[in-house]
Amino acid sequence: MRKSEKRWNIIAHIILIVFSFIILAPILWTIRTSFATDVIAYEIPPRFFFKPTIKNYINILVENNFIRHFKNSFVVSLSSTLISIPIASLAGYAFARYNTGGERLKFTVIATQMLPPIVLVIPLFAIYMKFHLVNTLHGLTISYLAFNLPFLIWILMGFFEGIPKELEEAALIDGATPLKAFLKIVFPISAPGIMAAAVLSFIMCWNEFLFALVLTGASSATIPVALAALQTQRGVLIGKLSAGVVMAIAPIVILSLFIQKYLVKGLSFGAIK
Amino acid sequence: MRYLVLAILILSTALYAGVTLHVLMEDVPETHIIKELLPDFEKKTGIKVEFEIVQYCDMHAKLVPQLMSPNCQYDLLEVDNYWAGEFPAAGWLEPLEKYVERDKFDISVYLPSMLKMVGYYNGRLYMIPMYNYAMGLIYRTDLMNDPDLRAKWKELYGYDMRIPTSVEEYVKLAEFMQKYASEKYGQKIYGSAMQAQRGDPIVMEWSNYLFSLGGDYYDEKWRARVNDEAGVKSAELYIRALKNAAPPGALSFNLDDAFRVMSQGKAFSMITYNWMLAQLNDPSKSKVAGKVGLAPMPGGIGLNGGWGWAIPKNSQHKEEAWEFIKWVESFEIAKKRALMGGAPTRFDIFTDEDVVKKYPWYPKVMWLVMYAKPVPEFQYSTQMIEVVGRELSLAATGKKSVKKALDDAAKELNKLAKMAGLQK
Amino acid sequence: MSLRRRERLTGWVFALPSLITLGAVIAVPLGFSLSVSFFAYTFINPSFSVFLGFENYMNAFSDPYFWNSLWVTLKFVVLVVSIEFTLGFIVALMLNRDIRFKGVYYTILTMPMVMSPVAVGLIWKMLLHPDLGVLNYFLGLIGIEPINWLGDPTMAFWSVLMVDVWQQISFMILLLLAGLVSLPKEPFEAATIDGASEFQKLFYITIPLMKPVILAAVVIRTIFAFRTYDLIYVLTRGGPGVSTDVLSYFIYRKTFMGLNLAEAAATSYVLLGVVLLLVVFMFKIITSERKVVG
Repeated sequence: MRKSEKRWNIIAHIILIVFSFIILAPILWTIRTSFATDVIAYEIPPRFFFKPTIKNYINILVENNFIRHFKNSFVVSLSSTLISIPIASLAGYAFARYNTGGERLKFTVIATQMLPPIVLVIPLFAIYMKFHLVNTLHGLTISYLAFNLPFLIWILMGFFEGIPKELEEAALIDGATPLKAFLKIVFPISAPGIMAAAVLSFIMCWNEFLFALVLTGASSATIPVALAALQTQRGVLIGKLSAGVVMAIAPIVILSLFIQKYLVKGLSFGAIK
Repeated sequence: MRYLVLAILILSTALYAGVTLHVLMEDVPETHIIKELLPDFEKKTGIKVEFEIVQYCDMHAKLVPQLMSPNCQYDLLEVDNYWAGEFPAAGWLEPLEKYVERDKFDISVYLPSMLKMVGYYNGRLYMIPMYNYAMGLIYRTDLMNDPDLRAKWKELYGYDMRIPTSVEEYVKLAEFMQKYASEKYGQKIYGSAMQAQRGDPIVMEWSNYLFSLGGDYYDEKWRARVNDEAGVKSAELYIRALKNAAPPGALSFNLDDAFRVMSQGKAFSMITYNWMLAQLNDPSKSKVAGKVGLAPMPGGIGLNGGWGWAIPKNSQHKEEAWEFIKWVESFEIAKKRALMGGAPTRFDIFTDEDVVKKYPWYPKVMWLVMYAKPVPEFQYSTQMIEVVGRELSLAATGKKSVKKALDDAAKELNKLAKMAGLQK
Repeated sequence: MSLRRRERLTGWVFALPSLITLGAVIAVPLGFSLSVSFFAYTFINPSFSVFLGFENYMNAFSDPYFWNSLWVTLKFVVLVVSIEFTLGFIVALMLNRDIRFKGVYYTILTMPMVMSPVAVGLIWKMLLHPDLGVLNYFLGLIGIEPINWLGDPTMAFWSVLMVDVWQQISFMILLLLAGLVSLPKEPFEAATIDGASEFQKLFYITIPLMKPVILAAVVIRTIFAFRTYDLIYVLTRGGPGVSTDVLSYFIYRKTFMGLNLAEAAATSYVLLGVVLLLVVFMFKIITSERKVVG
């Protein structure tokens, strides 16, 4: 028993090392590129030791106003996530537990996401012009609810379905309202799931491109829009782009280190389960 | 802060104080040059200018919804010649004659080819030419002057190696270089760093072959003629160059990928924008700095391209936008832009003494621009480029014969011309 | 009030905030695009004056390149989703074990997710450059001939697929791991005492319990895979030829280059039908099995 356990752990390490390497190698190369001039970046055979330059970082911060785009991305992604999670949890719970609206409603909700966003963004733009929401961060945040909610509902539905019904039933018999039973029992148990959903929602917004492109202006553009603009007519500014990617990843990685324990370890609910 | 704003307001004697112009720009070198000069305009007029810089392919997606709506966020636009037919045809741009006449703005200084391309549409002036990107041949002077290679060429073909004068000769030279220059230097040197990615890269490059062989997209009655003799011949030569004288990955190359090959010294030549010469001569970007030269497209007629200034019909600040155009296109500023590395559109700048002193090849560029020819400009130019790009790419991958691909393209081109009401 | 009715009411009350919000942000655009698809509505002439009925739909169906794109898209979606799911599930299972450096692995494996797809495409384009890319260089060191990653029609499809898997596998890992972590511990402990092997535990406990999460992950990833266009735009523009021309990029071109919003909308609704069919099909497979196993 012990032995097989140990053997599997070794296999796990091997698999994880291989995958981590595949994922990490291009990122390391990106970091290298961010410190290189264009000539060095494309040199073959590659030089491994060269005098690093921080010009790329300075340029993207000064010329492209990267901090502002970062702030925009962060504000929009975070607020859209914070709005979506509570209401999507309730809806996901209703779908999972009470089968509200039946399969048809479930599918209608997700079917709204099956149209390419291109055909939605133009009418949305027209509406936004009327309500003066173009080129504003709250406008963009609202538009992100359009895809955040359906996806979150589906993800959370999946997690809620996995929770044994008996737990809330006991609480309901003790006289708790359904909302209370949900908040006190279901919500904490599914914390890893909700956390994962929140992270995904944040990332979906963080990477969203088309809505951001059409609905923002110079002052409200997000990181994907800013990075896309680095494909210029005189070529891709690969050094700057790499610097931008590194600067966009770094804080998120640090942030994820903090919230990781909810995602990886889960919380111990041995007592109730 | 408040007092500062107030102070500026009071100090500013200008008419338009307090207005901010929102300008949508593409990230071309000139954009950054103008950005640097902006304080001068702001000081003179009190109008603040904000550039929003977007990449070319996103620009269209950004502009179309804006231009359709009752009021546009942008007061001034940089419009590519691909859209020089579409935007006026859709009624999105403000005609400029009345401004030009009122302020006696001199448009006679512009090269006629530029005015035709990014100035007039259907006889009305919608744009002021800002920037040119006519294409030509950029080649490696060191390889061209290499005595061994020259001797070999003479031995093979019986005459001195020269800058090619026809498309055939160019393809032959590219093939020659790929074989013998690679041999001599012991590393792969491609004949031509081609950009044959589907979409506008392949169309831009091929257009040079097409025009130089006397072909065109439409005849004067707007009947498609890409599949005539010249069209087929140009596509065959183009594909021959792709097969024998280009990097194997060229079918997925855009300008950037091709530029990297050239700048790393791995290619002999490139059919590209004239201002790429400056990029290739920049040692921080290129290993072949100082070893490249510019010539007209072999066969004489390259693809012309350019951007123009335009004011959206639904702009909120038309007068201020015009004020800006007057400033940025004035001789003084146009000259400054050129001296800082811009791509001029005016005779007097191309031939200005100081400009020529700094960029001796500029008169050559002027001739290039004069004779270059743009793609047809009408409502569906972008669609036309898409169609031709797809069919050429299919022919280049061998999925279709050249003739079949061009016939299919011609069919769709005729459809587009009919849709636009140009072909009866 | 009966318990059933009460439950139904509670369900609707819970669902309402989401439904109202969704109605506000998405109903109008959806309705607009649907009605547009029946008219001759283009950007050049944006009006509802010419009613076309199903002509836009017929045009879409009669375009041979539409069928090509549909086929490319289906191939792409089915392949990326199954590869990402399989690999992602293996990685998630391994990460769910009680091993050291879990946090490090996890951080690395989820990194690509926070990179915007355009940036991922541009960086991979540099790595995949046939002459100047490091991938071919390193392969050359171990004696492999340079591969024409994006310039060959067949290879280009697989290269795009590979880049997509590289980035999107994080999504699967994150979601599936969260599912694994929330599973109850007791069944596993009981099975261990009974002497079940790891594989038996996987097939008889983990997978049945994970069904709802797997379903959500696969459905959502499928929908996203259908939307992929920025990656294609940056890497190949649908070429060489039409080998990577997925439908969402096809529709993008119809909208912004063809300026024909009506045809783009019609094609989009056809696409919606296809995706919906596929999702319902997956739903049926995954849920019907649950009744047998669980």
